[in-house]
Amino acid sequence: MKKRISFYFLLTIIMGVIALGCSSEEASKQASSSDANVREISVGVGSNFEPYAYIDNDNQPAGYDVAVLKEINRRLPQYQFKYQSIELKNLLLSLDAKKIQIATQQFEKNPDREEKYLFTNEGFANYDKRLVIAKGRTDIKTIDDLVGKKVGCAQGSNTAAILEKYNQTHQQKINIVYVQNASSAVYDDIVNGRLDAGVMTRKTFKRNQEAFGDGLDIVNDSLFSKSEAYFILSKNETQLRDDIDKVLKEMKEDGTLSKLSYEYTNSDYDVE
Amino acid sequence: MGSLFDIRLVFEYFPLIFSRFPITLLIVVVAIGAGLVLGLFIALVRMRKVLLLNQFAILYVSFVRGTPIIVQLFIIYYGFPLLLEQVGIDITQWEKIYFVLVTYGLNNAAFMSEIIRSAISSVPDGQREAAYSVGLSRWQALRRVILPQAFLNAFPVFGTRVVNTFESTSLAFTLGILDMVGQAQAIGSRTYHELEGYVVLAIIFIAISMILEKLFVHAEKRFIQQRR
Repeated sequence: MKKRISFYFLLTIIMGVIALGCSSEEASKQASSSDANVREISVGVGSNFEPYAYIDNDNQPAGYDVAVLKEINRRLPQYQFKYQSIELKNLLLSLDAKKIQIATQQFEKNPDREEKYLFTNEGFANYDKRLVIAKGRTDIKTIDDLVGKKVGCAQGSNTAAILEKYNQTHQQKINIVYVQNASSAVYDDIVNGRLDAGVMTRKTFKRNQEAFGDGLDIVNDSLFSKSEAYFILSKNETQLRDDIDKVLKEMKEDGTLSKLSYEYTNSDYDVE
Repeated sequence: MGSLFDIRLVFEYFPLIFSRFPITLLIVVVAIGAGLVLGLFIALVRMRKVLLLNQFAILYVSFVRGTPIIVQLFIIYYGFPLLLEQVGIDITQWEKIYFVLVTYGLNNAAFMSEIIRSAISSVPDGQREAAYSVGLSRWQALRRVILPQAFLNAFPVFGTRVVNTFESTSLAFTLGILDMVGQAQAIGSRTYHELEGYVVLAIIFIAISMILEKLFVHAEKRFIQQRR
């Protein structure tokens, strides 16, 4: 009797595995049966930055970045974008390894990145960042006040790059703490004093305050960094870059980008 | 909204996260299956001391056992395709899950080979000699005398290995596989509630590890009974 049960148990497992294998095969077949003139482009989308790049209820990449790319793809029928979710810190590595041709999670320009990758010339979101501290703290106003303080940032982010650069060029160092790109952890750490400060855009700050309570303050007096978010491409994709730039310009002019920005972030793409 | 931990969300997330269990199971079943077959091969190579293959097997096993599986995942997923590209084979666009299955399979092969090797050598030499003396061939001796005893010796370690593999699948999400851990993270960043997902994961992993352990202990007892 027991033998029979374990036999059926095994059988179910094997059937399940086979079914799973078949379904994924079918999916890949459908994708490859498209037109031969259409070039397939793999897009890597960050997986944990709501509302820009995250994974939705149906396990698909979603967010503002994806919505903009989908609209771009709609206007560029010669390409077929295929989306997959990848963690932020592995996105650029995936570009290096030729797994993807476009990466997006609100990427900002910096010299190191520009040397290795291609950026679109048109940005698609304001990305001015400010320091974020526990409510009531007044000792931190500018980046120089961070010396000796614990500052949280995500590995591979531009914030990390700026802080690392600061430490390279200054005698007195900032204590950089790399955190998983998990906003609740950063929020919790700042409120509880495990971190002295974090760096966020005003929009992300608001989103955090809404989600977790009202425990943080944002430094209004000065900007931490001024920039925009761009799509980032493999170095050799100049044609694709130019095509995307052209379409992004059109989308700015005809208001589509604003519309999408309001839909996902409740504000225009070019305001902080 | 407005709090870091909400117990109701644990119940809400549970079915969502558990729905990805088949992916985790797939990795474990393939890893153990491939590991056993390849592992037996490696173990035999090492015990018979096959020229060249033996040295290669020693190197392979020490590499796999000496590096974290996350390093192996990255090498197979990011590095290996670039290497193949040099000889004109393009596998960069393959589904991620295949790379994950290959990595976990290769990883397990190394561990399994050691389990099998130690189990076989734990059977006293006298057993083999006795088998030959009653006229059994080499293969017959292995199959009918050595392996049944080795199996019993290896079984508890094998059980631990299965549980270990099950837990180590939690690293596959770093490549973007939506297993249970990936799903918990996805939900967390979508809803700004991450802690609850991890609580669900803890519950599922503890429960399944306990079930697996119980199953193995039970099976072991039965095997011992059968032999008496």
